[in-house]
Amino acid sequence: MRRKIFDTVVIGGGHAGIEAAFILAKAGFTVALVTLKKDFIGRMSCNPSIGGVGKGHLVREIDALGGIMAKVADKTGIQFRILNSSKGSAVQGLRCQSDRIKYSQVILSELEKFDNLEIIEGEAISVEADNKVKGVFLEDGTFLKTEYAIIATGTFLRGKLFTGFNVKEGGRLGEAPSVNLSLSLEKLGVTLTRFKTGTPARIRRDSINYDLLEKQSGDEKPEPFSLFSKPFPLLPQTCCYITYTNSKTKEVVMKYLDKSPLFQGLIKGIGPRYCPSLEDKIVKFPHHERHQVFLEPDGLDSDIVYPNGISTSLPEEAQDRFIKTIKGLKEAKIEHYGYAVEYDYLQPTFLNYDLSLKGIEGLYFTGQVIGTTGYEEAAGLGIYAAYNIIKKLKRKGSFRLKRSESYLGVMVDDLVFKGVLEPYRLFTSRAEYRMLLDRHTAYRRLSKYAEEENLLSEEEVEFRKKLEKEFQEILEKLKKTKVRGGSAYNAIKKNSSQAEEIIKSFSVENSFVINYLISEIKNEGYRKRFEEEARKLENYLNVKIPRDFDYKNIPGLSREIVERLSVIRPETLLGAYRIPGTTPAALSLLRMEIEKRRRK
Amino acid sequence: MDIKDTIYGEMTFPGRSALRTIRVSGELSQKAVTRLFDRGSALLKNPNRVFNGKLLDLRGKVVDDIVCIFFQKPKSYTGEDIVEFHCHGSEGIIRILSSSLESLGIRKAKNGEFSFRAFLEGKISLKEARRLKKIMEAQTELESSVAFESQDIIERELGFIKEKIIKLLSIWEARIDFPEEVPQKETNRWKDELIPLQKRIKKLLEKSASGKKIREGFKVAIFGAPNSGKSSLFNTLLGRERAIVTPHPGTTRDILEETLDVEGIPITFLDMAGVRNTSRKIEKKGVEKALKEAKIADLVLFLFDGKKGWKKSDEEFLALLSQKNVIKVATKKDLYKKKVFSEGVFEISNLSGFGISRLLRKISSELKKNIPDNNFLFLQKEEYSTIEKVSSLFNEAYLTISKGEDALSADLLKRALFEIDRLFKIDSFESIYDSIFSDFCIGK
Repeated sequence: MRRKIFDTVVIGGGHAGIEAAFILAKAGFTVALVTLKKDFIGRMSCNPSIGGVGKGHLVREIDALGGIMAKVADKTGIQFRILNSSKGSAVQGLRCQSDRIKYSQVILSELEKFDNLEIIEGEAISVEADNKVKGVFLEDGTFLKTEYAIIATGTFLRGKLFTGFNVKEGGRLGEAPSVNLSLSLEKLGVTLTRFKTGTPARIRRDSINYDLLEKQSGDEKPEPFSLFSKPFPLLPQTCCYITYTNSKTKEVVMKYLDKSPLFQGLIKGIGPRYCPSLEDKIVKFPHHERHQVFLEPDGLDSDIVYPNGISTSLPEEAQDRFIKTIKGLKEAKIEHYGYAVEYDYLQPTFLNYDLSLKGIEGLYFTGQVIGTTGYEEAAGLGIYAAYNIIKKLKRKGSFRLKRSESYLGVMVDDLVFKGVLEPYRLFTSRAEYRMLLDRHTAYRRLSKYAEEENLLSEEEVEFRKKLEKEFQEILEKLKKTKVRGGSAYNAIKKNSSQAEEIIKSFSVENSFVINYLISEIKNEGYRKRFEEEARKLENYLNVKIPRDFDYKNIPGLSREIVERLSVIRPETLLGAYRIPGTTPAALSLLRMEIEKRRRK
Repeated sequence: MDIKDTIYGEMTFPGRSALRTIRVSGELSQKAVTRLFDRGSALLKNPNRVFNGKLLDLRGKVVDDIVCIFFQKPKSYTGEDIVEFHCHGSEGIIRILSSSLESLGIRKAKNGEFSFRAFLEGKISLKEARRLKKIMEAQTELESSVAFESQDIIERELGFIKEKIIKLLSIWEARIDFPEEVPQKETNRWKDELIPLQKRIKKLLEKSASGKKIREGFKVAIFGAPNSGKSSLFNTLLGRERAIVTPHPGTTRDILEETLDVEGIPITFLDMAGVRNTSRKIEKKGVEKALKEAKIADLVLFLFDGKKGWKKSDEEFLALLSQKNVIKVATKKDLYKKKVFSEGVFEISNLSGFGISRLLRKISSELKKNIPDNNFLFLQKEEYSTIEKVSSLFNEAYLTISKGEDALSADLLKRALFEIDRLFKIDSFESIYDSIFSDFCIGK
């Protein structure tokens, strides 16, 4: 038996696994990244695009924490757009179309730069553990000895692919599932449940009649995800096309519903409501005559086009037929068919706040396997797990982000506290304090954590500080400089249409600094108010509950809650709130009682 | 407050009356009956029936001839065992009974504790508990007339507003989070969607504000030159009308004030220093103060000596008041024969009582003009402050949406939703998503 020793073993080379391995390697630890196929590292199994509203914010946060996604997205992006450009800075979302093949290649070459990171091609079949992780077995018998294992298997655990009634085992198209690993986890007492998601057919580029279609170009002056990307953009920029389904498409889909694995009950897993299949959309919204389809290029030199909006698990024959009813796709040639994938996931409420499994020390779960969807969500969770393992390896406590501090904090909190009923996607509306989570402030909010662990390079740290300094200086100058009827600062606050002009007159050129200033000045009052609100809430939830606190005889608390509280004995009100069933009303009763007894 | 205790409380009002009733609720009720009522065992076997018998003290001595009723749990108001002792109206009997109960380990109930237990036992809903509180707290006829229905109206209106906020937020958040999938609207048109709801909240706030006014009472300033009969009127009114205890303690000041129930509305009368042109510093201060108070009063009674007539100095002070709501009152009707005053002057005599009733009717009808057709709500402080906050958040949301800050505006609406949730003690955040996904076809 071959034996190797690592500080951490990461199972899965998707967006979560990459980010975790990258950060741990950057921190100087020895890492094994176990993946089924090296060439498929960082593969985008759904659409070739990164970012969006909320998701784009996450990518920024990943960059601020020293992650890899933002930089690679910038290097391989072939169209960049800001969504919601007219809706206020806080909810503007960066998004790019990526060259799918190049994205994987760049990721791989970045990872290969580390001597302390070994990419192992193979199948992880079991995690050895009692109450602590001991190591990971590979199918070829190799034993990777470690105290920390990260499960980042995405949709691979007992994955099943559906196209009509044709059911195949698989993690995604052309790749085998991980069945043994599921069994091994179950042996450790882990409970797994099923989710599903889907993807559309891929169409050959030369079979599309673009002359009939609406064109969508990127922004004239694209904004990169990463503060540190230079030069940018690197690749030539291209565009997407928009078309629509119609009543004929609907007719065809309806005809094949009796062959849909989704509607005939073959698929048991729950899918995301915000990413429904075309058949789902048509059944749920019968009054909609058409549905939008985005034709996204798979890459600069690729012959493949991704038709976003018509994911399906109908049989091949149905896909052939309904795609041809769509404008511009009459002669469409299908490269490969769409399918639904059903997979095991772990209900995230089984996890601690550091994403380690309750009950087994050193076993971390991250990415889609804990019930999320999306590359960005996965990457964010990957980096979060890695930060926590770094803290453990350095014996420095744990890493935790507040809801008022980052979208990443919102996501982890939602997952671990509330759990999921459908695959989780991050929306800006999930954050109570999104005015505080503007993309421009990501570095100010989070880079301190990266700097603490040396996860940003010296140049990056310096560049960031230089911009922050410039920001502060200009802010002061704007306050002091008088223009007609008041300070320049107030002029910007009142009328943001002139903001850029005013700021540029102070010889600021960096567009990041300009936008940062505008967003900061415009809503300064509200930002302060929300900061105060967040701080108050935090103080309230941080109220300590005495160790010997007697929960009995508190009027208004249900017996069930009293029993749970008496067993779990949370240290603070926040801890009490985290216990399922604790209502805000129960919390305020508890708060009053603590205060009453303290005074006695 | 320990809910395991057995509690007792008097249901009637202390003072001389034919009967007084003590209610006991909790596990020790049965023990109390066995020890203190001579037909205790028969009573306990026959719940809900009226028994006539003897009230005993702890040594078994008969102290009164009483009526007793036993309500067995859970079929009682609080859901616990309840006993009612209907005794004769004597303070001594009540003291004996109370101290006997306390010796048995039964403690005196705190305010509202019976209803609180009824709520905890699920006998009454939060809504009913709140309604009950309103009915009990209503002080005047006018308040009592709307206390019952107010609860329904508040819950209905706030419920309606809540549903509308969820609907609106689901549309706004869908536009924000799914800009490519959901039909968009130019941001400067979003505010149009806010206006109808904002109007509805404004109306609710107005009704609530009138209710608050009625609750806190109106202020009527008794104003006029020295010796115009202000204090006499003040005392006359005190003697005639029922004084009420205001829920809001007045601040101490050298102006006398007293709150009376006048035709169903609480009115605080202010007896002020006399006003005249003076150069003396101390007196000047008093005049300034009286003017200031009179200006913020809901109504001013401007008194003048009817015998001496309306003077030039009176006219000057009237101008200083710059108040529309002034009633001119000629006093000392008993000291002069017939006199002709200008229109709208009320003649009174504190001595004979002449014109006082007419004046009071005038006062209440003037003040009632502020309360159109009983169109007001009787609210708990907590409820009023919720409505106030919701309304101000809506106004802010309107301002920010006008500036194109959609996300900020949505965040303010969400806070309005949280305020209502906090009052109702529920959480409706997730329903925004349910609404989004059932109304929009999301998914590129």
